[in-house]
Amino acid sequence: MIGNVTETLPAEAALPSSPAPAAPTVAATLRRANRSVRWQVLGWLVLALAGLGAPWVISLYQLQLAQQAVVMGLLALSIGWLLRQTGQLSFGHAAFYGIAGYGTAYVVQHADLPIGLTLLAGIAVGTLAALVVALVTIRTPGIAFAMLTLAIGMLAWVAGGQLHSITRGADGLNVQLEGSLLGKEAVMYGNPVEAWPLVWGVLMISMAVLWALSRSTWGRRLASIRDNEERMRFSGYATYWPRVLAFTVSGLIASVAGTLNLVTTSFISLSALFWSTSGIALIVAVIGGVRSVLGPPLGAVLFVLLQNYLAGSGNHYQAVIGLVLIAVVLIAPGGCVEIAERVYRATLSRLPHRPGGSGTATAPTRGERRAAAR
Amino acid sequence: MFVQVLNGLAFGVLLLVLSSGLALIFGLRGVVNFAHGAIYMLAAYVAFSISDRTSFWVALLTVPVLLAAAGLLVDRYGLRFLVGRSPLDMVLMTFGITFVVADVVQTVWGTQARTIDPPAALTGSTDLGFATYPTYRLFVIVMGLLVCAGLMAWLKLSRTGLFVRASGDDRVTAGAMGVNVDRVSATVVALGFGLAGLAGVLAGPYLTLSPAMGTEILITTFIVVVVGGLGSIGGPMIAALLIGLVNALATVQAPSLAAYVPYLLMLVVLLLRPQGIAGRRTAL
Repeated sequence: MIGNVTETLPAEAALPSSPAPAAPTVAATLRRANRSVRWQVLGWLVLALAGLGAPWVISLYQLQLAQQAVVMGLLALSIGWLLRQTGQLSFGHAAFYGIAGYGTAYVVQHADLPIGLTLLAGIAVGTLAALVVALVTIRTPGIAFAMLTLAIGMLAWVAGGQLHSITRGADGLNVQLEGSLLGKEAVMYGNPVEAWPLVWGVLMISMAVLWALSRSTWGRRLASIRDNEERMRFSGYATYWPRVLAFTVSGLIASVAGTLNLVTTSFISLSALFWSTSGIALIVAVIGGVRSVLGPPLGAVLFVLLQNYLAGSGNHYQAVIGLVLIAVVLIAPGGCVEIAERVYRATLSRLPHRPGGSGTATAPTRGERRAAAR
Repeated sequence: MFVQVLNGLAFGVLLLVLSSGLALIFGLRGVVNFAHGAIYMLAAYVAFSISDRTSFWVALLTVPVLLAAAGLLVDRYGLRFLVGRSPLDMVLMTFGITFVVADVVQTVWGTQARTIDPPAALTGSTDLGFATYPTYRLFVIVMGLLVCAGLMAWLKLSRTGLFVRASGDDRVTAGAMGVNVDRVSATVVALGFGLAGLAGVLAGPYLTLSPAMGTEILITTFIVVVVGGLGSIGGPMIAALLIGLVNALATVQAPSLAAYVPYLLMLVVLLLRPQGIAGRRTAL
């Protein structure tokens, strides 16, 4: 799942590095890559604008669910992006999510700052925590990293339980936000309809930023480090700081999710720090598919729908989500995004009038993906 | 003081049994079994039901066997498909199992805390000369140490043990030399699940049964394995006893810091010696 990410990213499939024997010239492949970028940017714009219209289409309850899905999707996005970019599986992102939430709450209660600065301070605290964790853990390889982040996440949870005077433990903390944020009173964001443009905007911007970062030189270098750290080091590239930075960026997105959650619900409790918060976000990211920035939010939507659907029948969503995860890992390691891609390619190859060249280009890519899956 | 040391030993032995199963599976399948805690919890609850109806001794014998059988199934229909894929895929699969098991336990046994009554022969306390100590905990210590001694003897002396060590060192070469690596791996996964089952049964009368017990001990077991060194069997054994002792002593000497102690120990070890006490595999 990790090893072949670069080859199968839709935008990168046509880059010179991919072994596509049908590619005629470098110029043609570059042109195709540019066209693909244009389509992706266009798709993003359409999605962003269409999403803003959600309050007019769906009911208030559904909008509430959508808001939950966005917050979870952001957290999943941070974990999924890290997994895709560095190949590292973090079970500890709930720590940054929770620390940002509690940090914001603490600043609200103890300092008299304008609301914008308060939120920034909260996010900064979470990001700083991510930086510190990254400095210590980033060098540990593969599985040990997953175990370490899980332990550090639980350390944050234990500490949260001990600092009862700040966190109020399992009872939770009600926070009254004051002041005006983006032209609205902060209290108004308790209403999903009022909050939706902010919530949706944050998600879309985060997706765009992470997408752009993946395509930057730095993002490509990260992918190379993921594939062969030793070789990159021997080639004279730094491998420590880029990864520390990647983890910090990922922690930043998780912190944004935590603060956004606080703004929209005005409530935070210790369960935000518990390992299952990161665990579920990770599952959601994998089910959605980490290869694309669309995957984790998509997975979050599916999860919230599923949870809501199963809530009536004895709440067995844990077992269902666990089984879905097992099935996805065994059958389609790329998650929903991979399934959608397969369906898309299958339809494309069955169309009678396909655009010149693309039919021959997809055939080897499919074979390659099959081979990689074995 | 002696009582504290014994308490530490009792908890350490529990970690010992759990972490050796985890380390064995890691050595052979290259996967850290995130379902280990859930299996331990499932074992404790199944033991609760069995010892309620028959006796504790029956549970002690049957539960590890049952879970070993479950381990065989997981290996045959799950892990074996994922050989050659990224180890993280296996981690995710065992993570999925955790959620399924947690749901099953909550559905069947509910969320309230439960305890298993120790058998009549092991109730009460024993006078050791320097201190009186609960008999059941002494039984846990003796039992755990015996099992680990047996495990070590099996690994070092038997032919299968030799195959296990060989396959853990180099899967491909062992296969080329005629070792049926898949069969060895299945044995080891079953053994690991069985050991987790044994730990669950042993923990039943001594700790409280709750749906959170699996995660709590899983984290501590991870710390043990990281401190002991991934890929080693002996390292985690030492680390398990060490963490058990430090935990018990810290609970008495510095109660407010006790919850942090295992984490701090892990951080110190990782900063000074990233591969752990006896780890040999750093690159994965």
